[in-house]
Amino acid sequence: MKKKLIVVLLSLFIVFSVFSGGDKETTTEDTGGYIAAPTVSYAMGITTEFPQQLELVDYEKQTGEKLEFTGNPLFAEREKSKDLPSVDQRLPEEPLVVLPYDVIGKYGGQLKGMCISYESGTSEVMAWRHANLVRFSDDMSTLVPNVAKAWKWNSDFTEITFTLRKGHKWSDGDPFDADDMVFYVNDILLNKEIHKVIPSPWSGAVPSIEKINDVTVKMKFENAFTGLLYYLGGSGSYFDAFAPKHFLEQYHIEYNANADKEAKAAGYDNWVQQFGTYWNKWKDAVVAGPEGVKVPTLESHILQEVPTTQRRIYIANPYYFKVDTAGNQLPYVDYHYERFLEKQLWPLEIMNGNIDQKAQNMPLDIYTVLKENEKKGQYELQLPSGQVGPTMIFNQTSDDPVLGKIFSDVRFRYAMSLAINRNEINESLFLGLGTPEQALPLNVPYVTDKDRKFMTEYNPDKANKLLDEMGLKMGSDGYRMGPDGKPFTVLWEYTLQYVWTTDFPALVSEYWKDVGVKVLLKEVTTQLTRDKQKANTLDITSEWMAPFEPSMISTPHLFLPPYSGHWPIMGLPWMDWKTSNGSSGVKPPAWVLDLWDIAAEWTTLVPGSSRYIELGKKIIKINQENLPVIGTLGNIPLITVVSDRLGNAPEWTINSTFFGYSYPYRADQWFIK
Amino acid sequence: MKDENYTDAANKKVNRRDIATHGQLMWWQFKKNKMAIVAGSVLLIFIILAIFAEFIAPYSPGKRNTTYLQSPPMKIHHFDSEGKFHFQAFIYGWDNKRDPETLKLNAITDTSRIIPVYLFVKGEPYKVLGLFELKLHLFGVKEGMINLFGTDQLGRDIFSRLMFATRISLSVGAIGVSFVFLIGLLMGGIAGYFGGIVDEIIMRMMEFLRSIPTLPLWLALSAALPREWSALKVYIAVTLILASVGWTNLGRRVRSKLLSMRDEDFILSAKLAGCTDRRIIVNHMLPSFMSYIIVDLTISFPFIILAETSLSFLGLGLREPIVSWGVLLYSAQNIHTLSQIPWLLITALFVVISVLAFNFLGDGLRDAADPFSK
Repeated sequence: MKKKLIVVLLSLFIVFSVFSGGDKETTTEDTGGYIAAPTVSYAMGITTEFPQQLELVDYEKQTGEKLEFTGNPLFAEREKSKDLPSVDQRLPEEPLVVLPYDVIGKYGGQLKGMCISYESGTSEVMAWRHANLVRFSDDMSTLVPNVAKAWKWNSDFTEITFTLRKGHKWSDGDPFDADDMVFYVNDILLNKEIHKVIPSPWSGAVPSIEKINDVTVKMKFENAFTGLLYYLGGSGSYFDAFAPKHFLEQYHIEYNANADKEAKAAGYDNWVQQFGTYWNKWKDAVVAGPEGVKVPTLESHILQEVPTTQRRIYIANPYYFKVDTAGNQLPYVDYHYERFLEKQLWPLEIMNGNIDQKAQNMPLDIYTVLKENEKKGQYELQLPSGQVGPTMIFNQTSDDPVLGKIFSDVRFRYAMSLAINRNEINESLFLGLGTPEQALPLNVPYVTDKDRKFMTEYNPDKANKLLDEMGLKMGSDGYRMGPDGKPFTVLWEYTLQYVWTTDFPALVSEYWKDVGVKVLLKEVTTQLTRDKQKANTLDITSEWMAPFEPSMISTPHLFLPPYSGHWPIMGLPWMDWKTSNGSSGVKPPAWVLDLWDIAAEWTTLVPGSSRYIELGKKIIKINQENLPVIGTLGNIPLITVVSDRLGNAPEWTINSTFFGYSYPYRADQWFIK
Repeated sequence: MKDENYTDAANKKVNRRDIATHGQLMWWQFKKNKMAIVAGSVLLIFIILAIFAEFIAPYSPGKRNTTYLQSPPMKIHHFDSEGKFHFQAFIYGWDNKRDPETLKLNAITDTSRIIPVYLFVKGEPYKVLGLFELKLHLFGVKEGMINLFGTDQLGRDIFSRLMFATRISLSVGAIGVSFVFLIGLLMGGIAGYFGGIVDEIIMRMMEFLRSIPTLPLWLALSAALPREWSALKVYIAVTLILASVGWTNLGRRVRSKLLSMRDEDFILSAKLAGCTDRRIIVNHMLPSFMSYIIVDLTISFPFIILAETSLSFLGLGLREPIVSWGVLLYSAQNIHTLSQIPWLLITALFVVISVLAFNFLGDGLRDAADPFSK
């Protein structure tokens, strides 16, 4: 279908070239519903500095013509009634020109998506409209300009200058400029009332900001912050780096002396609380409530009405800053329609053709039933690789003296890793698609295949030997005794979000039972496991997330206690010891101290440098020798559903499960065929 | 009428009826109800399956057939692919192949490999009633595994799991029901028979218990129970505690029945004849409202069995590695298992049959408990 179209376009183009004497042709003649203009699949000689996109000046220089802009007819009414200015006025003076994948799309229609509930952990609708200063290109590793037109680092990565787009506007028509970034750093990140201490990951660098002019800002850091752009392109909390000052200042005490009084009158405890309902460190938190309708955004779609428990609807942003190569303002699609559904209903909705694209949080075991209904549901299934399978982390700082002692013995963790039959897990639960390996970052130069295979062989004999060595004597009932000679049980409270399927803990606990370790299973909610992690009362957690950015430069926290940047996963008393300078908590073992030291330097390194590789190797080595995270499988594909009616949606080559903020596609140039 | 004609014609029987004990009368009445007899036999079979689960099941519930994942029930043959008759029943060998398109694991039967099925084979050792060790199983194969009802996602034998699940589900149901009845009868009986201040206190206590919302109670209990407890222990504890709230319904019914009966002539005469309270309650009053109790009992049994499933949602019910009907059904709740592994639903058949059987049995027992009613 797509190929045919390309052939048609190609032949049309040749015909046009002949008639116009072979000049470089950028005609916008109508060609059977689609317009002939440069695309990714047929670039018409256009070259770009960054993949698939270029700046307007550059584009016009290459085509030799001025690009005329057209807007979505959806806004025609509002333009007529002077509610909206014309498209030339709405677009920045220098919009970003993107090359659609296959053809110039058509306006209209709605994109249908689904997730479990408001949070983005299960939704890609967040990524469909996402806009940040920079983004990762579809290869998930090249940083490209987005909201920011350009950036420039100084030589030691302590200063970065961002250039914004002149005339860029928020979704309410107000100008977006350097002030919005200054506001973010000075009045949110560094505000002592909102944040007692500077939040991670900004804390290590200690930022300050300076406005050069309306479209130029300079950020300065006390320590080098090489991971900044990777972080902004990736995901997490505090990663937007700008906020709508003109809107938020009415709630901020610095700009409105009455903010506190007004907040209290409105029923809030103080101004910080009210401010927090309009601005949140998590980008998706604000659109979960009625406040989301009011907050201006730069994203491709804006919340249209107050979300209900069933659905959330977004409408195209009339001020979105991108155009296609024919001058059409993006996005093509009028509405995003996101529904909240139980995960068990997902396959049904997909099979009935009610979903246009779905990948985030898809369980692998539904592949067969989806594949069998591919024709009927008019969708295509893809299996882009890139996920790490479930992991187990034993709580080495457990308050239980017996369990704490057992878990902190590295021989126990080796034994537990060796007792697992990863091949069998792969065959029975992951359709044989994964590869047995430890939980390690993908595509980084310092991880070898040997590292990946470390302690992954199925060797119950060796596991038994290690446990015997530890002095855990086998009892008459087939279970081992603790070092105190009494039987012990490990309680594995798991949540489906992280173990994928209840069969996984069932299978793993069987393997552990075979070497004499008694594990009780209990399915609980993610909320509960997080609460328990914060209280240090969980025996095993599986919440560890694989790193999601290619160099790991901005995410070292995934490889050192407490193994997460958001909430502690393991090693809370160690963290207490660190933050209290040794006055409370528990002194961590030497390897933890080593990791912390390395991490402090790590964030100042340039990816690819020799020191980066040296320290990367060290991080991996320490984690292997101590095996705090027991991995199972790697290279697991993520089921990706793409509806047949979606245009400009090429094959996914890679995928990231991480919150849906970083994404290997460009949803703003998708259109409904 | 027909019944009178019948008694007139069989004059001797009428005489026997007059001199028969209450128990005999009940049995005669019960025998007339064919459905109840069938239901009773079915339940008896279930109970036998439950008691001798280790012997009847060829494998332990956790044992996996790793070469036969997610595969359908195996057929037992007497005729091979060439139509030749084998006296010894057999199953065919198989190969596990993954469909390259749908990635589904398919077990392809290999008709060239014939695996005979034997009765009374030696297999995994187990303890009979916790007393002595035995290796004998009712049936089995000597090569590979036999999966009469197919296997689940992990290759576990559904037939074996069902046997063990029947044991757990029936016994846990029995514990819950008997506890409800013990307290319900006792408290309702005391309140109804003595009346006055005793009645007042017990009734107010019932009202208090009924006013406690159960959901927060369950959640609080789940936090309060010791963590070393196995899932089975936790569940029994929870059923007991639920029963301690759940007896109030039955208690009320018993009380109101007793209150109305207290003033009947036959009770009065028993009192005047100098019967003790215990004798009046047990010998005179209890038999006359037995039918109510039986209906209640047979209704609450299926309820407890079904409640087990819903409890597992809260993490309070039974969980792996313990198998019950609820646990087995829990894994068959989503669309992909329904379409890919439909034989998981054999469990549902067991639940439906047992619930129906209990109802039919209860129906027959109710009629039998009241042999004089027409």
